Amino acid sequence: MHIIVCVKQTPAGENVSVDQNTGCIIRSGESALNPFDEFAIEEAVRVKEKTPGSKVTAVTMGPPQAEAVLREAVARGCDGGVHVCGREFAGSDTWATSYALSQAVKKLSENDPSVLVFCGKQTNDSDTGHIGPQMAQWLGWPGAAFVRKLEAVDGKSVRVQRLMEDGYDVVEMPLPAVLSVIKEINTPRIASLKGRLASKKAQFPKWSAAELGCDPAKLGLDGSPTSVVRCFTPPQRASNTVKIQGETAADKARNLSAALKEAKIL
Amino acid sequence: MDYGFTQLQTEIAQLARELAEKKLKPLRAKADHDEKLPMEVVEEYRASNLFGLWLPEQYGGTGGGVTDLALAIEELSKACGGLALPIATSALGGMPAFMWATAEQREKWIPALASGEKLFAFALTEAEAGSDATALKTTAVLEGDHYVVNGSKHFISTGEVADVYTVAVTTNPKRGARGITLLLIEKGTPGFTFGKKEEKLGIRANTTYELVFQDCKVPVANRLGGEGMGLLAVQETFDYSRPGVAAQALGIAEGALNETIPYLRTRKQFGQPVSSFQAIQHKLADLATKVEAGRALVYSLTLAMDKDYLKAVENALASGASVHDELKKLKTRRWTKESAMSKLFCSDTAMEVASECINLCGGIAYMRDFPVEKYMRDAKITQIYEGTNHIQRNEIAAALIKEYAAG
Amino acid sequence: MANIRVQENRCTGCGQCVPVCPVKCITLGPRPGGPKGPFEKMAVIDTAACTLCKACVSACRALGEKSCNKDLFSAIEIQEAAAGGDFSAYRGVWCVAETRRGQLSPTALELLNIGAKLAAALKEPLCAVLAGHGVEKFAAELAEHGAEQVYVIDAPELKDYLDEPHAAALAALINAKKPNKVIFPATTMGRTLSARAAILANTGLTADATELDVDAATGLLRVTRPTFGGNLMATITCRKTRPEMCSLRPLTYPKAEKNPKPLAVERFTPEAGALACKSSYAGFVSEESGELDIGGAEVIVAGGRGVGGPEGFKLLHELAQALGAAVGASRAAVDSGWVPYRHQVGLTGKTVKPKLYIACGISGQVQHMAGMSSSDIIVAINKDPDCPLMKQAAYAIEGDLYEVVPELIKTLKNPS
Repeated sequence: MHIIVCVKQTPAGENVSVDQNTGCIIRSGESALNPFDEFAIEEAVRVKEKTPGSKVTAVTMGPPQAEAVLREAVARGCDGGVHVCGREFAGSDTWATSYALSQAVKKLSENDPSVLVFCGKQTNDSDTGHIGPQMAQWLGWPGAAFVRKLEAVDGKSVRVQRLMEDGYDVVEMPLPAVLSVIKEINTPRIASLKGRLASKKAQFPKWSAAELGCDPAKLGLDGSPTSVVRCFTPPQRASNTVKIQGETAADKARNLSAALKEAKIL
Repeated sequence: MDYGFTQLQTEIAQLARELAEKKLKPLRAKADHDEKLPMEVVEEYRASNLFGLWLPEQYGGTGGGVTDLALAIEELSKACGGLALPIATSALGGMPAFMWATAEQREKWIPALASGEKLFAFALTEAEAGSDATALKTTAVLEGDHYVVNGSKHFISTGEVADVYTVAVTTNPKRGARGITLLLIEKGTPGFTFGKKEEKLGIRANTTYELVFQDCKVPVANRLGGEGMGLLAVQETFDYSRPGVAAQALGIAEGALNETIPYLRTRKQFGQPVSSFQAIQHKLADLATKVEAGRALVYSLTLAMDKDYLKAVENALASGASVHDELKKLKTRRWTKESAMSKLFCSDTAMEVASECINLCGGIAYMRDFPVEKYMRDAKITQIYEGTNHIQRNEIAAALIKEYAAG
Repeated sequence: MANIRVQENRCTGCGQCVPVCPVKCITLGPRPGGPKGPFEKMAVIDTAACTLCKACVSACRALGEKSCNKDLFSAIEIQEAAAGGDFSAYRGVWCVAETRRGQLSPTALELLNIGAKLAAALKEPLCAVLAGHGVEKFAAELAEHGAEQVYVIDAPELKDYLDEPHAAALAALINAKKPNKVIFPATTMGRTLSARAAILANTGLTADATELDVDAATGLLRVTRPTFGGNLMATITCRKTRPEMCSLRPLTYPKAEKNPKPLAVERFTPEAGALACKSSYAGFVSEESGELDIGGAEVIVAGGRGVGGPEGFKLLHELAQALGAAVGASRAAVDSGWVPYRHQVGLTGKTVKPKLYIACGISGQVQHMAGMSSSDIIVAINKDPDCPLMKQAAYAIEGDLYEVVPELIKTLKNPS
């Protein structure tokens, strides 16, 4: 089985700072692997470890420096990676990104239907969660998003639990298929020493739009149906905080309860 | 400070730091309270390849030496000196096994040691043989192709959890120190059971057991080196393992400071952060300086040791002889004095730092909710095991006097 | 191909665009024509490295909006292929009404609420879409809440939610009827379904909107949504294709008031074989916790890192019981294993909108706030009076939750 995991380089950490003057994210910080992708990589590697004769390939699309996330993927147990890279992809929205990635997945899975693709639930920079289902649609493959558990997987099919608002659905599908996973699915390992050493030596082929046989009209800014017209910092919640006073905890509790009753909340 | 570490060694430290933060810290308080070694920690160490840091790639290790091991132990001990132990004790039990093993024995034992599939432990101490190891009473009597072992071992770290025990026995009680022999005894061997589980002051996240041998049959093939070579093997092992204890002590000291300094910055008394008082600042400066001095001693020692060690390992793999024999052929010096100095200085530093950290934080640090008191309890053992600090001073003084006697 | 350039006459060389570039491809270099007045340098973009993310464009424009000299700033422009096509055939605002396990999702009426406003602004009809099996019975409720037309796709293949047939059914209907805007709920189903349908309908999609309006001049749907974990809001449009599609975060708008329209149902049957599906539905397992779900709760008692451990959540459960509330948690508490994931409120958990949200030991990271800041009344109990939540809350108690919460339980149980 060929397991493919799609990863993205995004701003590191959760404490991205916004420049109040320009309303833009300050990118002084480091870039890192999208945190949601850690779960996708971990699940991909776990499936590999349970499935003899399988391998994991990481795929990313992004500028040259995005290769770092492929190294991280190898450090965490992936066998290799490919880098979808080129000017023609610049400015892609999720529609165009999912198209380009699906072309890469198609190329990786030529002549082999035993393919399982993992994506993170979403990225921490654009938070859409579109890429998994959209890739599946471009490829004409079945899939599931919000996957919280793999109940069974072999080279031919997969059965998953999909988290819903009221519980979870169990969905089965033949391979090839595309799954987007949520953090509940596993606890990612820390990259092993041997993985780290392998990642230093790994080489990643760069695939251009031409090599992927992409339709240029579906790529980049020009190929993207949507565009960002404005960014701004979220308005602060107006707050006239009432500080509940009191000598003791009991006083404070009583005063809060009284205030809530007075405001007719309780 | 970076004492000239290789890229691999820097990677090891980074990996161990991540493990300490993400995996050990969430488990340490419960493990300390329950006095249990959570096996998921051992799984993490296996998956991260931390058991083979000082073993050659041929056997599944990563080809490093004592420095690699010390760096990992130091970083892990910053979170918990107890949870860091399985790596250190497996190395302690594994070092004589690797260095004294024949090529054939290496093939049999070392891959499982390097992968962590089997944890090793070291069993020397007995009820009446502590600092005076030569007084040990556990006997091994040769009967055909096996020894029959009788006796018991006390205070064995990672006891019960470990799979293979490097046990010091006497094969000839009349010869005293020259009758001591090392045997590898596997858990599950008939006649080998675990006695009392100790309740301890510190390193409670590690299990400490009594080992009991009653007519336990051990194949002769499990003997390391010749009969009577055991004490030399033990001494040589300590040369290589004591910097690991020193590293554990340093990690504990650094961990205590890592908890203390941020607290002192936020804790306000008399209208200002406690860290702004000069008395506090000077104390912190002294503690941090001692820790860095300890690191300088440990890593300059291990980096020097590793030159000989790695050469000997390389030669042993080529010749098929034991690492010990290859070290002898290289006519390398013994590191007994410096190794003892590293453990002496770092363990005393750890105890001082951890104790002072409690003083600096005040009442809160005496409480178990706050992690600082645990560092002090964990620090204490580093002054005791692998030779108490009295014994370290004996070793240092003996070496010193010998040096001057030789002129 | 699209390209980016800096207009020399508008660029002041202020350098504010440099730190916002995610690929660090902007530097300050000499002006080709030499220094211009006080401006010695100008922004130089390495176009080979640029990913056309528009962060610099946005930064420079923001400065332009604030500047009193209108000849400066707004200096970076991206030349893009022109949007083309005649979209006059696309009419109507559609709301995709989710049904699940024999129930109409409350999101359906939330969508009709905002949908009605958009439809009025456009002077176009408001329609609802029901896709499932045995779902036509919900059409009346949708009409009663303002849907002028209800499209129903009823097929046994659509009985349970599976990505492929539902997306195919929706896309077939969209391609046949050509709506102008389509709004999906940003639920598990809606987000997945809309993503696939956008590919099949060959159009753009914006996820997880928290505000929708129509641009008066162009009639474009302006979709505003949080990005970067709630640190930044982005307004997105879809100029090039129709319909414009988006998913809308649940609880963003209240449910539509009653606004009865004559029931007009149009049944739609996709072509034979269009609903073929490789995946299969193997069952549903409900989360049997016996607890209220935070998603629909009117009162939530939530705990964060400050709770310190699973025992603390027992205390919060007790308070929740006294209040008839659900128990929520911050990501820190969930990641520490103190409570299961289904309790998580925030960006990576659930969005909630209770009448009362009592946050115990939660500092109020922006990711958490993203999930609960639209609660009617927020109460914060925290030792740290300066943490963000204590400043955002309507009522703040500075103190140890282990002291305050038991007293609060006592007070609630014995109101005397």
